[in-house]
Amino acid sequence: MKRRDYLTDFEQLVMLAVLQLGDEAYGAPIRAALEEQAGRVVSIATIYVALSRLEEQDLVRSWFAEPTAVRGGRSKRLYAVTELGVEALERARDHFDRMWDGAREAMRRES
Amino acid sequence: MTSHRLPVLVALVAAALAPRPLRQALLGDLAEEFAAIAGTAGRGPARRWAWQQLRSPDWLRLRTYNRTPRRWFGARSRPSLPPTHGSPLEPDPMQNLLFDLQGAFRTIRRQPRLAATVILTVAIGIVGSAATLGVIDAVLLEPLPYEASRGLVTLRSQSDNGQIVDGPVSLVNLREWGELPVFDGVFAVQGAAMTYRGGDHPENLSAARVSPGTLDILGVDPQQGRGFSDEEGVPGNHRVVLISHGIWQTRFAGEPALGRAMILNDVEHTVIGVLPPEFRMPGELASGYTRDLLVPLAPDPENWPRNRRAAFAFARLADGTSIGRAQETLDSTFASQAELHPGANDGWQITTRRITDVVLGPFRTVLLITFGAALMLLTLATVNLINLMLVQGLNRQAELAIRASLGAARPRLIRGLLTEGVVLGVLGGIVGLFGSGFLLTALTQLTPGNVPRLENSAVSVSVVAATLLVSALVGLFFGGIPAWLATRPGQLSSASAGDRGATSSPWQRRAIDAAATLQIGLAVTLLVGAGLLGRSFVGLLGIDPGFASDNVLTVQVVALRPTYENMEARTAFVEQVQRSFRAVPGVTAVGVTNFMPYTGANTVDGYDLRDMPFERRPGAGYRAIDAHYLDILEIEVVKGRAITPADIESQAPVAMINESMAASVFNGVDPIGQGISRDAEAEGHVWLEIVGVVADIKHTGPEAAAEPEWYASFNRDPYALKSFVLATSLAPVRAALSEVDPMMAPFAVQSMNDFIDEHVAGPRFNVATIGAFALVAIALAAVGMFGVIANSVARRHRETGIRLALGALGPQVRNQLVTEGMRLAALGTVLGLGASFLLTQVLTSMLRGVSPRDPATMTAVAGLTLLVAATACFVPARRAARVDPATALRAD
Repeated sequence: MKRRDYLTDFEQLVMLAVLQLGDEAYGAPIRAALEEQAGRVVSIATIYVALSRLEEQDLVRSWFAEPTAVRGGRSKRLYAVTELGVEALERARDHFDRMWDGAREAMRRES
Repeated sequence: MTSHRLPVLVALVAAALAPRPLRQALLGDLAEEFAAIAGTAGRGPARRWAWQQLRSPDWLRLRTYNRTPRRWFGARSRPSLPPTHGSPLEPDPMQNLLFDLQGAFRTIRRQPRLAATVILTVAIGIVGSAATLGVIDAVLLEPLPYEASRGLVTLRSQSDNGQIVDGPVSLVNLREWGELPVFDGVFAVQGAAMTYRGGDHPENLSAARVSPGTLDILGVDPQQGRGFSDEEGVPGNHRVVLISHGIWQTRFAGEPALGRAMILNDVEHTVIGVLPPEFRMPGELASGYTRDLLVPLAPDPENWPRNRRAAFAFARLADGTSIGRAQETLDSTFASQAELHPGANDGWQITTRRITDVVLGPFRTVLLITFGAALMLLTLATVNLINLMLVQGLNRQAELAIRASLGAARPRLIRGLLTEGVVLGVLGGIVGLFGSGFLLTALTQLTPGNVPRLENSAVSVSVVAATLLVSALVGLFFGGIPAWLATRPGQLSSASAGDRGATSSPWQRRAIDAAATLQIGLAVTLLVGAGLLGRSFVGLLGIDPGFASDNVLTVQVVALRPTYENMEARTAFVEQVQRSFRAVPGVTAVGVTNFMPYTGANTVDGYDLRDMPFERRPGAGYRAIDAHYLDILEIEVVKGRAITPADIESQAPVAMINESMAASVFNGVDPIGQGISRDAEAEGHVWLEIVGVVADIKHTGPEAAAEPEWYASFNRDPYALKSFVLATSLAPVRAALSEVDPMMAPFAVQSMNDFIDEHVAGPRFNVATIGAFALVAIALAAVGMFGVIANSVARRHRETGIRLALGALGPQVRNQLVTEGMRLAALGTVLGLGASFLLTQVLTSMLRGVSPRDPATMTAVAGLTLLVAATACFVPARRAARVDPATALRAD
């Protein structure tokens, strides 16, 4: 598949959640953040699909953390946004800002 | 918190779904959130949440991104590496399978009634095959319970005139055959009844006198003790007995029996061994009959002339000897024996057959035919499902079109439908297996006890494997053919054009029509088979055995004890019993004979004729009767007179013969006044004058030809077996018998009709089985036909509406639809009749008095099928004709 040079809104939301969560960015809290802050109710698998795709494009990176008891002794996979990722996010925001600027102007003219 | 552990099943499913590199992380996340939700909202909501998580299709997409574990073990991703696998649009096979399975179960959930119909149809189709397979496995495929049972053969006498085919042989001849290099050993078996006095009452046990080497040749070891030694086959040393496991358990209470004494026929025998529980004599594998006792056959050469054919013989072929070679050697030996001993073998030959063929041969044909019928039913069910799926496929055209437009390739769509078919097929197979388990239980209880090892039939592992494989195959068929047709290029684009559901290609319509025709054809073939067997069975019931059986009670006893050693004592005993029976209220007449018809008891001996220009003749049945026997069984005297009470009282030397003997032996010469004797060379022999000819009866069963028989009075009879026939419906005869001799036990008190019944039990079973298959077949075919017309009606909903709006009358529309269906039904019927014309030949051996191409049966089946088809067409057609034109036109 050809590599897209833009981010879907869901990918943006996931990356923003990762940035927000900092050292504690892994599956469960990312899912919870999306649900609480963006109203997106998704399955844990959906989160990992997005993360996997982003990682393939070097926009996030991941590593294993210590296992914990509450997870039944299973370790976490922690994520962080790479520099490339931050650039892509900012580019996406720029695109949005530009689109919003145009849209706002048009709305002003109409009213 | 740790108390809220992730449910095991959720963990298992998630572990199966998650790609390996992510498994830990995913399961951990699930566990963590599950614990959190369970802690606040409780376990119930947490569980629901967990299952909801698993339902996401993204579980499968995850695999696309995570197929190379290496990437995960390296701390960092390596963008410079080219992707090791194809694009995410070509997912791995495991993912495909999971995806297709998920899709299949989703469809089942969405259309539970359709799924249930399919599963049930597969089950109905497969239940007969699975059950039959279970029977075949146990009866035909399992080796016989002897060592290397293929090497065991029977040696039987066959009379040149073809009247005796499976007769006993001469012991003297047999002893010489035992020396032949083609055999590793021979042994003889002679049935015997022995009165055992050990309990409160004397009882008759069934025994067999066997050659001392019998167990060695069969390769059977006694469970305890030893077999007979050669010395025990010599008269005087033969008072030893091997007891069956059953006798050991019931008469010895399972306590040590070796060395203990048994009083048999008033003589003390020593128990030297106990037979294994499953032991049967090779001649009795078919009947499942167990001999209670084995005693050594110790023939006194003086009493066993070479021409006395009275023992059933078996042999083990020497290693590497073919049955043909054995037969040749035996033929030449038999010929040279005849030269050395003139008269001994005249009119006879010996036949050799493998025991496996003798025991299983008769059932092989029946079982294979039943299996064939079951497979036809399965085919019909499959075709029925193909039909159903085709019709269903039309309704799903829209769904398929949408998926195709979203990029699903044709193989993709076909694979999905195939998976659906296989899932439904296997589910149906599982249901069918349960059904066949029940069916087998019922079968083993309902069938006559003459199928060997039927009781061992079970849904074995191999049956389960075969059934599941076949049902998966069935699923491939009914999933595959419609899938292939529904996804033909052009099909999907036209469907997406908007006329949803109602559209179908000529290909599909043709396939639907062909399926319906095929179903009718298969049902017709099965019906013809069942019809033929049914007619044959009815014919069998109608066969006149030549004697009366209503209100005739039979009692068989064996007067073998030393008290009855001589003929006078036996005659006195018989007369006493007759008097005693006659005194029983309700008994109007009492007759006696030695061997009763239909009981399996028979002897075929040689005889001499005084005035005929030939010596000994091939054997004839010898009956020793009193003056009432012929009257009670209503056997007609066709010439001369019967043996009278006066003849018996005065011991007049008189005899009678039957028509078969008159025709075959006397051949135009008047037999009346001729002299006949059992053995003209015996000491004290008397020529008996033939005074009458009686009508033939069928001694061995309704299907056998009448044999030559001759009758003499019972007071000249050397045989110990005495069979009384009582003209009565019921009588306390047992008590009457014990008045005469409290030590005498009858071994069979049965009505004559019971014997008649036993002889038709096999054919009745065949009719019931094939008949049941045929009924299910016609029902399935009717459902198929209904489906075709109903679909045709649905397809033409709008057309019908237009026609009705334009003034067509309801009946016209209805008749057109019925005609359309009946064309298919007629074609199917013709095809089915053609197929039966070719196939029913295999039934020939099971049919009596009916040609396998019986026109009446064919006509009746055709009529019935067309009637059923017409009804199946009429119902939906009538509904179509009643449609409101306005509604029809408004619909899509």
